[in-house]
Amino acid sequence: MQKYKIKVIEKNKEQEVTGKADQNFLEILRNHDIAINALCNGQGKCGKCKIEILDGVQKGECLACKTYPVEDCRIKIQTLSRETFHILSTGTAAKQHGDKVSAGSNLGIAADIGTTTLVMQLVDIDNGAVMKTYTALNEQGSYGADVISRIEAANNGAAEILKKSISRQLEEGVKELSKSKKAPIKRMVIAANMTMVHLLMGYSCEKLGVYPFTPVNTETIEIDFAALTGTAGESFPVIIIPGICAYVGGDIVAGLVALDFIKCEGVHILIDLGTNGEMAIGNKKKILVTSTAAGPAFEGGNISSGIGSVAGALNKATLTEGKIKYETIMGAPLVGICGSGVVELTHELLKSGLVDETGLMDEAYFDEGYSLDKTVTGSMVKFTQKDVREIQLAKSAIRAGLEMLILRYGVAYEEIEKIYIAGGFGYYLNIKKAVGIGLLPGQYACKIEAAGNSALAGAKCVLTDEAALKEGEQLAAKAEEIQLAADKEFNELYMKNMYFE
Amino acid sequence: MTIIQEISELLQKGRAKNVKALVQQALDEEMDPIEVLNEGLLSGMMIVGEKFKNNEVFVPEVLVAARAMNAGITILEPKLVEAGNKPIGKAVIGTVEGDLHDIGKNLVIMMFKGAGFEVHDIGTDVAPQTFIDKAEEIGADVVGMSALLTTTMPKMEETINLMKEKGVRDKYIVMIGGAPVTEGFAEQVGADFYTPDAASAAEVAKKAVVVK
Repeated sequence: MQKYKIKVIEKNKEQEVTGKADQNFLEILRNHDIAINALCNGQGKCGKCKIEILDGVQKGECLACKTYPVEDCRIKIQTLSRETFHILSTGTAAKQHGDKVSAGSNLGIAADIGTTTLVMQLVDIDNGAVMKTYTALNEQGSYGADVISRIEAANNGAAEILKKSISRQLEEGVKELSKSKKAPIKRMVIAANMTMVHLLMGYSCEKLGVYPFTPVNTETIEIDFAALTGTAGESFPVIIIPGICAYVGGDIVAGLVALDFIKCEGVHILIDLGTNGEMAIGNKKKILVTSTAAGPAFEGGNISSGIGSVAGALNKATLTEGKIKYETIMGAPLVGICGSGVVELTHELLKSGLVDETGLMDEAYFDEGYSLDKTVTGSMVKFTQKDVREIQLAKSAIRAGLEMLILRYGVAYEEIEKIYIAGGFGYYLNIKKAVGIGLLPGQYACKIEAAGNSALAGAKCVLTDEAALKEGEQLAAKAEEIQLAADKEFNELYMKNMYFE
Repeated sequence: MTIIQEISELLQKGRAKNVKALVQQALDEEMDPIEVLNEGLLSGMMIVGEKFKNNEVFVPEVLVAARAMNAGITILEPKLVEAGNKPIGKAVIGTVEGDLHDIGKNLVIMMFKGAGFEVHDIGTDVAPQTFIDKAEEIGADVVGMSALLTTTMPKMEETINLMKEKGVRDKYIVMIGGAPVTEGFAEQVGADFYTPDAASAAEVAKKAVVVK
């Protein structure tokens, strides 16, 4: 089998790797632990694994998953780089924790392992103070953006690789966080969704991705760090917060702990507008949960110029008197449109009548889309008719899921005290505009509050307060799941909410 | 506008009540029920399907149009049987085992009906053997499989292999679809056709049964 030397050029570094003629560039990069974005896990559908071949017969841009090397060459890639990604680590937790005086030597780590991002914090266990934060993009991302893709990859031989990937990233995080500290880490608490836990623990994902979606273990896991990650260095006990079912995991339970659902009299709702759209409703008496899997539209996936929340991503827009004004993350030059930007644009186009209530774009823009501006490389960032359709599908799934949850719980509007929106997308979301496009119900607008990274907040609670883990376990045991896919009423609501009101 | 044209227009707008009334009127005026079906109802549905493919209309519009179509067909049914109207083919359509998603599958079923097929909807979470049993039972021309989870796609291959094992593979035109499904996957597993949307699926199926 013919082999080729491939020079891989990233923003800040270069390396040479060898690839075989029968491996596409995505495979070659993965084999060398170089993580590039592959939302659809190599099916040629998302367009996000673009690379640029710098010389030879294949010179030019191409999809890494569909292109095979035919000669030695240099390629330019964009890795999942954390310097540009904007990751949320703050959270407003209802709970106060760690009120003892600091001894200075009780250090722990709270970790939120998300499908897209990883956040770890070094915490003083006595007084709950955050001493350092470490963030990274989950490098499993080169095996797909969503949990189903990763489950599929694990079932097809990548389980070991995926376990090693997250273990390595956890280890890196611990190293970074422990750098200047004199005291050793006493313990770590992890909040993560069910799929992330399965991949980290090396559990089989065979039953996770098909009906009736059976996880191997949903209980609290207590394990030694070295045993968990297979690393030789410093070790300490790790607690993995328990989950509820296949698609509502420990990260949601952590959020419920942080937001004190266990003590609530009134009914509260938690919506995690992250990759998987999990939601919970309830209080100390009863809790219902569900997952809407709205798809990646709110993370830039399936959107023609869609992109993650990186510097240069359009995240604000106003359209007045036919003129569009926009802002980007960190004010960097426009590179694409991120989740919050997608909501903003949809709202503005709706408001000015350039998109009608059925979602049809004005004739003038129907074919080519609405042009925003050119990127530094000269390509035009647009918002197309197809993008609007994707938003309709995504926002309808979330809205219908929320309404189903409220319907099945059986509670009146007045009884709902608060709707917390967790996750990075929710943190920067313009609630008024989200209501404007029907993503969130208008009559609840005044009850909506951004909760930030509630999973991380919950992990900190468990880290600093012994009682918190028990609360988590009680909440997890109490919670019941409702499944939406087979529910006729959900399908009706899903259809109904596709239009814009 | 003739009655037939009106029926088509109103179907496209999803006006089930009006469609029913007009179809009845057409029958009362002794119009050919087969013409009312093909030129009025089905052609209207095909126009909706085409617009759906182009993103000019969306899922809800297809749904209401299909409801109007079904309302019209119910009125025509007895007359069609009398007139000896035959469907252009028979199809068995379902979502594969382990998967509960059915909206896409239902859209395909609507478009197939709109193309003149007799469609048997076998629901979701359908085992490979069940696809074959139903196809054999009704003498199907087309077997359509849908999946929305990448994790359930392997069931499509299983069903096709089971057909080969039982020696019935060549009796059926096997079509697959669903968000994660691709042309490449269809080739890999030995399906006859992959189509990216419901309207294309019906078009392809219609052409395929003519050739058969």
